[in-house]
Amino acid sequence: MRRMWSALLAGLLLASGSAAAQAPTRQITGIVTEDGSKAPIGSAQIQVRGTTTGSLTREDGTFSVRVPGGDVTLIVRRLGYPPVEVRVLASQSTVNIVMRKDALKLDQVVITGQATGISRRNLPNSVASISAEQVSKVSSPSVDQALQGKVAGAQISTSTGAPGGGNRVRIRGISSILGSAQPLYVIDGVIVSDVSIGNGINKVTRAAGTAISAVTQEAPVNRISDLNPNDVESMEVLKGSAAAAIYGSKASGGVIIITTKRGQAGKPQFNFRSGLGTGRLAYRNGQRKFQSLADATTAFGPLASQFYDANRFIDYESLAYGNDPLNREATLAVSGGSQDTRYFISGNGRNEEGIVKNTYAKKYGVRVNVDQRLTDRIELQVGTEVLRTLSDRGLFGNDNAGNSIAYTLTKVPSFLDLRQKSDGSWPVNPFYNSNPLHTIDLIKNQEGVWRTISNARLTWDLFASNKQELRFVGYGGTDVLAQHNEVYSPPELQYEPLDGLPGTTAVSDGNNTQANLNLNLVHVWRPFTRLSATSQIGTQYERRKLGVSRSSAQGLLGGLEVVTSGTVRDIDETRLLTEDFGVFGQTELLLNDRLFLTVGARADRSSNNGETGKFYLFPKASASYRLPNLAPGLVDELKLRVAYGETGNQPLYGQKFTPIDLSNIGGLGAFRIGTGRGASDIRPERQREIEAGFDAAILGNKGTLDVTAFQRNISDLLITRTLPPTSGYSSEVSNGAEMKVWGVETSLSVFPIQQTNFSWNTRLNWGMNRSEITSLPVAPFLLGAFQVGAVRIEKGKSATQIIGNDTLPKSPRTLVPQGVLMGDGNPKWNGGWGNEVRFHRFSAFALLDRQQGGMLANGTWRHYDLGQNSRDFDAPGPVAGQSLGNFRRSTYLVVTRIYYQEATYTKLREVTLGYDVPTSIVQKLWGRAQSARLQLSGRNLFWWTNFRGGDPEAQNFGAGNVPDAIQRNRELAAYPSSRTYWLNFNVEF
Amino acid sequence: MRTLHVAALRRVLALSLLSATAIMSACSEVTVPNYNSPNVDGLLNKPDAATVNTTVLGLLVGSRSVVGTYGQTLGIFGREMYNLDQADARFVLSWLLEPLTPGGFGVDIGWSATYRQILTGQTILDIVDKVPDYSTAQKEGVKGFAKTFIALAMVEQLRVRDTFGIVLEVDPTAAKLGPFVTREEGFTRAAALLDEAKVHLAAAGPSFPFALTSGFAGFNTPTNFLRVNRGLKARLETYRSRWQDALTALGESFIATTPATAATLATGVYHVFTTSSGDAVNPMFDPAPRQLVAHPSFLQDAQRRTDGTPDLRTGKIAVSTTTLTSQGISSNQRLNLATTNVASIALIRVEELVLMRAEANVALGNRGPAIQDLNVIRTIAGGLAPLASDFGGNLLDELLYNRRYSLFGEYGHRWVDLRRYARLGTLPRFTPAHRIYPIVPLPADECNQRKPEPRGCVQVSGI
Repeated sequence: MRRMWSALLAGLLLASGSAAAQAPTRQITGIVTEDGSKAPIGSAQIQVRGTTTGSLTREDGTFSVRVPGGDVTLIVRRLGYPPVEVRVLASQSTVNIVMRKDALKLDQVVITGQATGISRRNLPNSVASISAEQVSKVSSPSVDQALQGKVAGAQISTSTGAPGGGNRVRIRGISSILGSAQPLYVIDGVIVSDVSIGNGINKVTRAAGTAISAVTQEAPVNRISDLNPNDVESMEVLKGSAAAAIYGSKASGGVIIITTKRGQAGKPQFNFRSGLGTGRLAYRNGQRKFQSLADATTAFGPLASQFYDANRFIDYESLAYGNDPLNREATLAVSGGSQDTRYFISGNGRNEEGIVKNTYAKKYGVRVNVDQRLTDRIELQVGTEVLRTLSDRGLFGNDNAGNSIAYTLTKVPSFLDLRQKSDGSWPVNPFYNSNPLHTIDLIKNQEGVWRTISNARLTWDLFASNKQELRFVGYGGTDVLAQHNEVYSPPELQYEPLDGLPGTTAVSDGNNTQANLNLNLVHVWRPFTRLSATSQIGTQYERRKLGVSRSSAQGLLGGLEVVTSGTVRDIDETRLLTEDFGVFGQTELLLNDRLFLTVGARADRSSNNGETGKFYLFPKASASYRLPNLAPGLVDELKLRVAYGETGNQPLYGQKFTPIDLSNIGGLGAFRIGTGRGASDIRPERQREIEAGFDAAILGNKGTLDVTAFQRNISDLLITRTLPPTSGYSSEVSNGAEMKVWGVETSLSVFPIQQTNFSWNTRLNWGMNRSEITSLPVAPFLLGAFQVGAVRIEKGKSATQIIGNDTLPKSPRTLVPQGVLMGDGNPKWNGGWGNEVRFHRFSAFALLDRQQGGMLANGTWRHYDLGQNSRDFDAPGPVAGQSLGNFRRSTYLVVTRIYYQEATYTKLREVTLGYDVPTSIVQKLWGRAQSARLQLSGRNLFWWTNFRGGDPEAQNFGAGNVPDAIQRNRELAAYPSSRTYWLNFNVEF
Repeated sequence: MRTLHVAALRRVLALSLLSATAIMSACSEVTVPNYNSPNVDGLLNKPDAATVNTTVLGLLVGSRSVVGTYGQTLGIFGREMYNLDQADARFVLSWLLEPLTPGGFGVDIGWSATYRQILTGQTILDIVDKVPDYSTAQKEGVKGFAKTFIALAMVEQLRVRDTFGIVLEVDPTAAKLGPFVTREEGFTRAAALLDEAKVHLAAAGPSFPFALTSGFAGFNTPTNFLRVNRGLKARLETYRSRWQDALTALGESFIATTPATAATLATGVYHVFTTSSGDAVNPMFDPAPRQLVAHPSFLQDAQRRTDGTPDLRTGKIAVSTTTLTSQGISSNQRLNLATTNVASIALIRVEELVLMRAEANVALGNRGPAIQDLNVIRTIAGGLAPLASDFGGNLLDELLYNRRYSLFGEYGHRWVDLRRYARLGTLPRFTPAHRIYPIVPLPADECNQRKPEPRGCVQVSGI
C-alpha cells in the first residue's frame, strides 16, 4: 500500500516536468494480420504512443506511419480485437503485427462517462453488451425485442402480438411505482424518445370511458421500435445506478446505449441483406362444442334455436387469425472513405403483415454516418437517420362496446355462421354487438410516423504530450418525431349504429421533439506507465416537448372518414414540456492495469421538479481489481468489483400541479376541482444502489463467468396513492415511500470448441430480483380492485404483490374483507440460453428464453367462460351438478384466483440455420461479390407454458412508459402472438 | 516547446470561454407552466368573479355526472331495468347475483363524485368573500346556489348508503378525514344547508352573477331558484318522514296543479346535454339497445286505461328489434326515456312535488287532498281514470304505484321508496339466486384507509 502511495507521489512530481525533447522523424511500414487465418486486417488504427500521430491500415492490411526517431511503441486498435502494443526499435523500419480475435469481448470499450470509456477488462460495473450480430440474428420488429433473452436481469415482454410490436423493458426489476420504468435510450449520444402515443381506438372500444384516446388500453407502439436494428453496431445495457449515474435523474430504469455502425476507410464495401418471411398463430384458445340445442339456448337465449346446427363447428380463430402474411425486408449498406473522411450509408425497408387480415407494420429508413477529420486535432462525426413507420393494428384489447375482435371471438358460438355471404353481405351477429369477421374486413387503425434523429460529435485534442492529454468532446443531437393516427370505423359495421351515431372516426397528431447537448473536457494524465488518470467535467442540457392533438367524430354523414362529416365531434389537446440541466464530473484512476477506481457525481435540475432551480446531486464511486493468471486453465483471470451509485427518477410533467378540470355544460364553460391532487414540492426519486461481483475468464480463456449481486434502496419514491374519496380527491401524488430491491444476475459464455471448421459457443444468462416496500408514510393503498386482482402497496411487502377476493374456508360465499394474497406480479426469475454451432460452412443457433413465475390475470379465458363458450365449459366441475365453466364464471367474483395464473413460460425465441455460400460459387455468379450467406430463421417458434388464454407476455393495461410500472398483471383480448419464419439472403460486395 | 504550450493554452482558454457561455445560457432556471388546465392554487389565491362563476357551473357538471349512475344502478337494484351489456357480465353477476362488497364492482355509485362535488362547493364558499368584483348580493347568490347543491349531493348519497351514514366534511389533505355521521345527522346537516341557502338566496338581489343553462329556464333568478331549493327541502323532509315540514317546504316551492296539463307536471329544473366537445350526452339514451332494457314487470304491472291499453307512462319503454342476452337474461324491451342523446333529465319537477304532497297527506291521513293530487298524476301522466273521491282502497299502494311509473328510470326512486316502506321483499327476482340489496356498502378506497373501518365496510348479502 505504501508503495502505491509513493508511486502516486512520484507520478505527480514527474507530471510537472516538461515533455521529452523532439527528435527528427522517420517512416515505419508494416502489415497487420489475424492470428491463425493470416487474413489481412484493414482499417486498424495505428497510434504512436504518447503522440496524436497515427494512421489506418489499408484493405490489404499494410500501413505506413511517421514516427519520431528513437524507439517507439505502436498501439494497434481494431474493433473486435484486443489492442496490441508493439515496440519498434530505432533501427527497425518494418514490422509485422498479429492480432488475435476477441471472442470473449474482454477488450471492448464500455462507456463510463459522458465522454470516456474503459476496457471491459477493467470495468467496475455489470454492463451487458450485445453485438450487431446478436441483434440482427433473426429479423425482429424492434431493437428492444431483439434483446429478449440476451441480457441477464432484463425482463422484456411484448404486450401485443400486433405487427410493429409494443414492448415493455424492465431492468433489474421495478424501480418506481409511478415514475417512468422504461430505460433511457441513448443513440450515438442523443437521448431518444421511447414515447408511447395512443392511437385513438378508445373512441371505438370505449375501453376507458368516452375520451378519444386512453393510451394504457390501446397497446400502443413504444417508439423505440422505429429504429432499424440492422444499423446497430453494439448495444450496452447499463443496468444499475452505479453504471448509469452519469445520466443522473433520468436513469433509474437503466440506460440502453446504442452505437450505430460507422464507415471504415477503403473502397466502398456493400452489404445487401434481404428476406422473405411469414407467420402463424401461435396459440389457440379453442371453442366450446355445443352438444345440444338446450345448451345453446341456455347460453344464448331462445334466439339460438334459429341458428343452432349440431353438425356445424366453425373454427373462428382460424378464420380471424388465419391470414398468410408475406413479410419482406431488404437492407443495403455501404461503407468506405479515406483516412480523413469515412462514411456509412444504409437504407432499409421492412414490410410485416399480420396474421389478421388488413393489419401490417412497414418500416423504411435511411441512415448516413460521416466521420471527418477536420484538422489533425479536430474530428467531427455526424449522423442522421430518417425513419418512416406505417402500421395498422386492427381492433384489439379491452372494450366496452362489443367490438374488439379477440374479445368478440370469446362470445361467438361455433354453430353460428358469420362468414361473408356469396352476395358480399355480412351476416348480423344475433348474440353480440359485432361480427368480428366483418370488423376485420373494414376497421382501420392506421398509424404513420416520420422521425429524424440527428447527432454530431466534435472531438478536439487541445493538448497532448507523453504524459498528458486534454480533449474537448462536445456532442448532441435532436430527435423529432411526428405520429399521425387515423381510426375509422365505418357506419355499416354492426356495432356502429347502436349509439344512434353510426360511424366513428378519430384523427390524432402527436409531435415529440427533444434535443440534448453535452459539453465535456477530458483530461488524461499518465505520470508513468503504470498509472493513468482520466478526469472529465461536463454539462448536459435536454429539452423534451410533446404535443398531442386529437379530433373525433361520430354519426358520419355519407360515411366519410373526415372528421367534419361527423354530427357529433370531439377535440382535445395536451402539451408537455420539460427542460433539464445537469453538471457532471468524474475521475478514473487505472493503476498498473489492475486496480481501477472511479469517483464522480452529477447534479441535475429539471422543470418537472417542484423547485425548478434546485440541483439534486447523484454521486457514484466504484473500484475493480484484476487478478491475472490466478489459476491458469481454470480461472485465467479474475476481476473483483464493487460499485456504488445514485440515480434519480424525475417526476412526470404536471405532477406538481393540482389541476382544475375544464368542461362544458349546455354551451357554458365549467371548472371542477380535478380528481388528482398534485404536490408542489415534488422532487426526483433517489435510488442508491450498491453492486458487487466478479468477472472471470475461465477454462484457458475459453469462457467468461460474471456474477453480480445488487441492492437498491429507493427513497422519495413517487407514489400516487389512492385517497379516500371523502378527501374530495381520488388520488394524490407525493414523494415519500421507500422501497428496497435486491437481486442477483449471472452470465456465462463458453467457447468450448474453436477450430477453423468447427466451433461451438454457449451463452447462459439468469437474473432474479425481489422488492419490498420499506417505508410508507401513508396508509396501505390499492391499485386496482380486489375482484380482478389489485396491487397493494404495503410496508414490509413486495411492491408487486397481488391481492384478490377469496371466500372464508368454512363459510362459502362470505368474503374475506381485506382480500388475500394470490401471488406476485414480478417473475421469480428470467433466464436465457443460446447455443451456436458452426461446422464448415453451416451454422446453427438457438435461443431459449424462460420466465419463471409472475402472476397474470387471464382475461381472455375469463371472457370465454362468461360467454359460456370455452373449450372445456361442459367438463364436470368441483361442485356436483355444475359444469366446470359454470363453476368458474359464477365463482370468480368471490374467488379471484380462478383466473390468475403463473405466467411461467419457456420460448424458443430465435432459431437460425445458416450456410455460407462458397466464394468460388458466389464469384462465378457475380464477379464483384465477395461473400454470400443463406439463412433460415424463426422467432418464437415454440413455447412451453401452462398459461391459458394467449401469450403469457401480453398485457392489456399499461404500455411502454405509461406510469403504471407495477400494474402489468392483466392480459385481455390482445392481438394474438404468432410464430414467424424468415428466409434471408446476405451478400457482401 | 514554449510556443507549443502557449498555443495549447490559447485553445484551452478559447474553449473555456465558449463552454462558459454555453453553460451560462443553459443555467437560467426554467419554469414551465401547466399548459393543460388552470391550477387549484390559482383559484384559491387569486379568485375573481369570472373564475368563480365558471366554477359554480362546475357544480352543475358534478350534479349531472351522477344522474346516469343513480338512474341505472339503483334502477337495477329496484328492478326497474337490467343492464345486459354483452361485453361486461358484471352488471348482472355483481349487481344481481353476488353479494355487494366494498372491493367489488360498482359500489362507488356516486360516492367519489359526491365528495368531489362537495370539495368544489366548499372551495367556492371558502373563496367567495375574497372575490373583489362581486357585490354583497352577488356573494349571497353564489353561497345560496353552492349550499343548495352541496345539500343535494349529500341527500343523494344518503339515499344510497342509508343507515351506513355519510361524511359531511371533505379534507383535501386526507390528513384528518371527516368523521362518519348517522343518516339522521346527515339529513339534519343537509336540511340546515338548504335553510342557510334559503336565507342567502333571499338576500341575493334580482339576479345571479353567473349564467345558467337552459335547463334552469324560469328558475334562473335567486327568487325563483329559492323555490327549487324548497322543493329539494321537501324531498329531504319526505325521506325523513317529517310530513308537516315537507308540506311547508312544498308550499314555498314551485308546485302547481293548475292548469293540470302535462306541461305543468314537467315544469322544473333540468340537466341539459349537448354533443359539443367537452359536454356530455344523455346517459339513459340507449336506442339499440346496447346495454339497458326494462324489467318486464314494468309493462306487466301497469294499470289499464278505460280503453284497455296500458298506463300511458309505459311509453317510457319500447319494444326493440334487438334482443339482448346476458348470463341467461334476455329482453327486447328498451328504455324510451330519452328520445335523443341530448334530451334533458329532470333534477326536480312538479310531478314529483305533487307526488310528495300526496305522500305527506297520505301519511297524515288527509285522504281527500291526497286523492286529489294522485288523480292529477293518474289522469294527466297515466291517462288513467281518476280515483273516486271516496276511494277506500290502500292509498299508499296507489301512491307507490304512481311514484314508480311517474319517476321510472330517474335516480332509482323505486328502490328508495320500497326501502322507506319496508317493501323491498316485494321486488321480483328472475331466478331465486338473484339478490335484492337494501343498502350499498362503502367503496374499498374509503374503507382501506380508515381505522377503525366505518360501519359501511361490510358485505351486503341482500335478501
